[in-house]
Amino acid sequence: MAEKKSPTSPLTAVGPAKKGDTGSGIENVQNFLIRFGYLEGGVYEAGNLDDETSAALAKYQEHNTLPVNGEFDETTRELAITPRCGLPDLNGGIDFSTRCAWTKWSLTYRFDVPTSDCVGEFQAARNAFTTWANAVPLTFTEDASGAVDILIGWRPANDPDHSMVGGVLAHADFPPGCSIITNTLPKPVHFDDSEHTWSIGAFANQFDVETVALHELGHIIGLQHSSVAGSVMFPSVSANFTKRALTADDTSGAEALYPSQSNWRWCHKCQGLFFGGNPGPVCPAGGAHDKTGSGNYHLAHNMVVTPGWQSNWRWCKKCQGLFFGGNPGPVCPAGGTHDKTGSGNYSLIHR
Amino acid sequence: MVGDRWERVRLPGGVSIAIPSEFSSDDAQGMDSPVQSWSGDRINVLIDSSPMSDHLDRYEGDEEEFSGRLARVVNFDDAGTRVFAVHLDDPALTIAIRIECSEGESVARAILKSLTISE
Repeated sequence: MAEKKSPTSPLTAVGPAKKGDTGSGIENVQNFLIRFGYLEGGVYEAGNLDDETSAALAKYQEHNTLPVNGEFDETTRELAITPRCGLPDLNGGIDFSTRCAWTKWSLTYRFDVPTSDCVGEFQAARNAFTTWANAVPLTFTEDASGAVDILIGWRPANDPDHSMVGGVLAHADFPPGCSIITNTLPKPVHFDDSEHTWSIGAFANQFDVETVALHELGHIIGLQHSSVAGSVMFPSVSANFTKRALTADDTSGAEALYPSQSNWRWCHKCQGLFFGGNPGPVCPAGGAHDKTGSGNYHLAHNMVVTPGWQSNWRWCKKCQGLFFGGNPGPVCPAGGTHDKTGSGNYSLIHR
Repeated sequence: MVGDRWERVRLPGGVSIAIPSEFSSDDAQGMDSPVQSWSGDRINVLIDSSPMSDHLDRYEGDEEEFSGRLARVVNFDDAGTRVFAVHLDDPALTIAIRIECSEGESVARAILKSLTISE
């Protein structure tokens, strides 16, 4: 039996709409997204499918395992007009049950208030950023001015954005899309400067900044706690202790969030990109590709459908090159057409 | 391994569990969430009360109902230590019980079985 549709849903008559479209129907979509916790009131332009509305639609689609495109498409409309519980899916736009990844892989950060407990606390946090950057294909760039993604500082225990009174050392947040503290940027990494003493290194009754920063930045990139003893993401820590290196458990979690493959290379002869891990790459300029002078490029690999990314880029097993698999007639320099047999599904940022 | 006397301890969110009376409370420091810990002979109980707690979704396990609420129940090996764990989404918390000897398994299961949630 077909599911009943709500006869009175104001969305029934709203046609497909994409980013930039306007009209009274869009306002109905926005009201729906607000009602069920996906869109925050006052942050969008009424009647305009703007960036905020598109992001909220993407969140709705992701939550309901629909194809995520940030548009009000037919599939989204069909689900939206199906009768449902009136309670919000998300608590203030926050989905407690999930962790998620950033949709951009280049993040910026800035420090604000230091602690007077020790010298070198900012550098310790920078070290923690570097440790994560070495494990996943994310870049973290310090930016002393302008809008940033992450703001790091020391706060009183009764921090207004999330109280740390009563024993916790610090707090951070998950990426946009699965936030638990704020849906806006910058995401906080706040250390309790009232109830604990901070140090650089292991000292009695003091907590090592880099150890705690490494854990908090794990949340920032989207990791939840781990029950594996000894991992950086284990929920508890001791004073007089350092843990400044990631464990296999931490890196496997991070790699699951940011799946990538390294060893993609630039060929200085043809200017193309090819996989450098196999023999016999064929260059359209003649002979084999030549990676002399190339960096080591990481490609997003088998990632979930993510707004802003284009998938279906493929590896050709004949020439080792990267080609788009969505169009007919790709010409391979090794002869005939490219062959994606055995290829993963690579994604590129697409704006 | 443990005696007959058990005590009920209260956790955040109206959750409570029973633990053997001879277990002692540890001075555990939460990174960014309230944690509580008790230890007995080769057994440790750690409660992480946070939406950032381990959802245990990477381990094979079952969904079980406690006081009408679904929870994820798993057990897994962590470098030679057996871990029995349960995660609740609401209230968000994870209980992980680490045992270093096979006799602890029945104790761990009994602790998890005792989990109740009051409204």
